[in-house]
Amino acid sequence: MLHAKIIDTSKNESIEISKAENFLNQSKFGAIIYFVGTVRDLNENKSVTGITYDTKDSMVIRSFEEIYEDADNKLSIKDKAVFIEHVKGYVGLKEKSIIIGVACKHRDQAFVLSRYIIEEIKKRSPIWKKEHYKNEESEWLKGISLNN
Amino acid sequence: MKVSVELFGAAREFSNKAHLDFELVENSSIKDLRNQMIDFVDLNFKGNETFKKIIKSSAFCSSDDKIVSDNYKIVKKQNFSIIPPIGGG
Repeated sequence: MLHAKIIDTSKNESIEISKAENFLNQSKFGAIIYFVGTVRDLNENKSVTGITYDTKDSMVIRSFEEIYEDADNKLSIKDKAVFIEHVKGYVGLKEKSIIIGVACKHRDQAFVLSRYIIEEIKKRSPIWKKEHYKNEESEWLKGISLNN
Repeated sequence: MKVSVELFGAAREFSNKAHLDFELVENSSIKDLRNQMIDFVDLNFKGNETFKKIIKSSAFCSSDDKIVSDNYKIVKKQNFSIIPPIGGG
């Protein structure tokens, strides 16, 4: 069971943990883990004021679906629920940019699955970050090339 | 034939619009499109090396969201997206 969505901050949407709780809290699961990524104030000695996220929505959602399906084959965790939301648009300090909620039967599976999903998103999902700094400059961050 | 390239990430700095249009001869490849984009940067951004590096390290995807290689032949009017190096989360 997968919930995958892009949250558009320009439409005043935001990530709400309660939605993940509602989706994941089921009696067949004994372990739920939430990973929440937030905007921090310092990166490579630069004072950050916020981040603008850019996404290629259709590819991002498809990558979430593929990562979820790959978890079946690579991790053999078939009985699971996964809740993934990622923002697009501007996000201020301390605000959430991503939530990955996973529910599994046992805690070992939940920890492994949560870590697997965030690492795969970093490698596979077409999402970009533009950091904004206190000196009013901004910069697109370097990333991983998909050009093989 | 006209080919449109939707811009994402750092490539958004290439234009105020969400896409760039290029005129290619038939049977051009993604490599040709990439080279045209580099020519565009030479012409409009005085050969900005950062921009050119972005183009060289980017992938391109077709309108059905499939990553296409440099050898991919463009046989008709098509839309592509430029996918600069990624890094979300």
